[in-house]
Amino acid sequence: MFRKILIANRGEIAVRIIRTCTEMGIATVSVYSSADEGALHVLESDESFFLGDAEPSRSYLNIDKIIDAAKQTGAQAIHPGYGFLAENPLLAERCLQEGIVFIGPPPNVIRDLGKKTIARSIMKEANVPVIPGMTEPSTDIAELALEAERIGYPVMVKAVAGGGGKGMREVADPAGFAESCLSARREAEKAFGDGSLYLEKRLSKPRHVEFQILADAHGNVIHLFERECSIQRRHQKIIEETPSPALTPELREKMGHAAITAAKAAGYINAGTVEFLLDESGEFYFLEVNTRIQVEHPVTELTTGLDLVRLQIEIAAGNPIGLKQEDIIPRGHAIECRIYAEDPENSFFPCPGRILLYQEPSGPGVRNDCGVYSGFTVPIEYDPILSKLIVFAPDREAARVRMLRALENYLVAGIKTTIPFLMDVMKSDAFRLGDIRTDFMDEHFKGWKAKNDAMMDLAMIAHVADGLVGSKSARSHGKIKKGWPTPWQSLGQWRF
Amino acid sequence: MKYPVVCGDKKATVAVEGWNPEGESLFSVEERPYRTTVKRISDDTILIRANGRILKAFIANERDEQFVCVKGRCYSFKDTSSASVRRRRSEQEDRGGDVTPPMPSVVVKILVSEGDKVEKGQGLIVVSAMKMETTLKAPYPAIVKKIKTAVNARVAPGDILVELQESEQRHE
Repeated sequence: MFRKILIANRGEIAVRIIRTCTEMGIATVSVYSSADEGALHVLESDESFFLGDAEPSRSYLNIDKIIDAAKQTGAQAIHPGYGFLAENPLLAERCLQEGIVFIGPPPNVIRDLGKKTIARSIMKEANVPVIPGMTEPSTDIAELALEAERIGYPVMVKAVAGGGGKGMREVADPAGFAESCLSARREAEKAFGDGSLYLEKRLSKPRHVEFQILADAHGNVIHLFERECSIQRRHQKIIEETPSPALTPELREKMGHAAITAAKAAGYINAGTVEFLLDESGEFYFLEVNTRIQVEHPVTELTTGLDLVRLQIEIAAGNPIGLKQEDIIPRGHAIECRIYAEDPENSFFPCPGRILLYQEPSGPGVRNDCGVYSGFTVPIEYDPILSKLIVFAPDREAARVRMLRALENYLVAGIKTTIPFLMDVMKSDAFRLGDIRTDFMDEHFKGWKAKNDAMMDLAMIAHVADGLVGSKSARSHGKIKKGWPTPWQSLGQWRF
Repeated sequence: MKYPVVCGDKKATVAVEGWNPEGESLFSVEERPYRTTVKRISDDTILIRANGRILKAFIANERDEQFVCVKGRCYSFKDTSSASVRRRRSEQEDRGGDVTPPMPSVVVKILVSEGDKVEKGQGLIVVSAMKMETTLKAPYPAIVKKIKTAVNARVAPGDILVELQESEQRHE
């Protein structure tokens, strides 16, 4: 086993990986940029290495610097987490050349599956159902328009190198087609340096259902069942759960089998995720493979009792998975809510800044994977995820009310977060009934605003009462911390 | 005693009758009565019992803003003391359609030059916060008077990035 691992990431996922390494007796090296000197992942690791400026290309995205950090600290392996370099075949390749173990699939697998048209061809070849559409990339708008006619509107325009919803457009009819292609191509060129596009048939009201897979270097491939991830904003997930309320045991078995077939066809090694779209008629289609640990992996960990990061490390070290498909018996229900530094009342616009107070929920069946703390300034340069709140309970309804309870006990003051929005989703009939599809947000929560209920009255009472009761320390001596005037001070000109 | 409060974009009056730091007082929010006892637990936590309901409220102050958090919700209160009200009023007057970012962000691109004539809704500046880009648009037809920022500059709400001079046609 490795003696030391470098974690080429930041935030909650870096902290998550460090925890498993520590439990395995493996020393950890964190890396950080100038924006992250006091970040939690730095504080939690055994050693840390400064990469450079906050700008990602000069720090977390800089392969030379990451490799240099691993060499200087004597790390034998690199865990890339998710995002940043996790699905960049160049880091995996460079590790191979430098004799450092990359904790993830081989570079050629990352490269093949990263090009969506190649991935679609591999799956088609292996008889895994793919969404009707193209398997050859194109940048020629006229050629794409012909294909669109052939597939039939509405269609999805997607970037071959795509991810995170970038370079993706939904086109309802021929009128807007050329313009959508041009803007998708521009966006893809900018985001991925590759403007190639392909088309897929747009499915009606699909669900996003993905399967966690594990594959080792000895030819063993198993799946750890599904995750339902239909609730998304900007094509990015925000709430995930397992099991999916939509799968029957027969469908689950069929999709699990397809996921294993997909992994084998791609020559997959390590942990990965095969994503499917499930349409209203119960037909499922291959969407893509994520060649990394997923943000939402904890729901699978809670229902299977496994540590996916530990399994990733074991597999990377050349060990067999040590589990057979029949050993995987999921139980109960798990839900994850992503706590983002975003303003849910303002189209989820990112909201960086200083966290003044932070307190996380606890209690039975509650897990919180977090990358921040009270007093931390959330930088503007990186993804707005602060933490992930995950609950586990015997069944879906128990998990739903547990999540609501945990969210009510979650305190983040100073910046806007998705917490109040997530509470309303948990309370909604649509979520309670499991009626969730990828259009969930538009259908049920478009233009969401927090309700002005009795809770606001109580907050107003607390606001006034805070000034009236005086303080334990500074306030009782007539000195007000940080210059906040109490109503006692300001009441002069407000007296009625 | 009556206290006007500004919570987010809501204004309300909280009245307190018979304030008793040791026992029960009557608080009313817009005439809605709450028999309330208040106890400070720590500098940032107070315990409130209102109409029999017990609630822990967390309180944090930053500049002229106070955050009160109860049950997973955080409410932002504006300081209503005279100085900051004046400051904010004058900011708001200045802001009548000025080009300012909605959140702390970094300037990615400047789409116009000084002296340019711009249409209403035309993109002026692209800012990025946490991997998300937003284009700040002209609020009315105008001439770009001055560009007060540069690519890679860190900017915050209230910073005027582009000074515009309204075109005549707005008044037509």
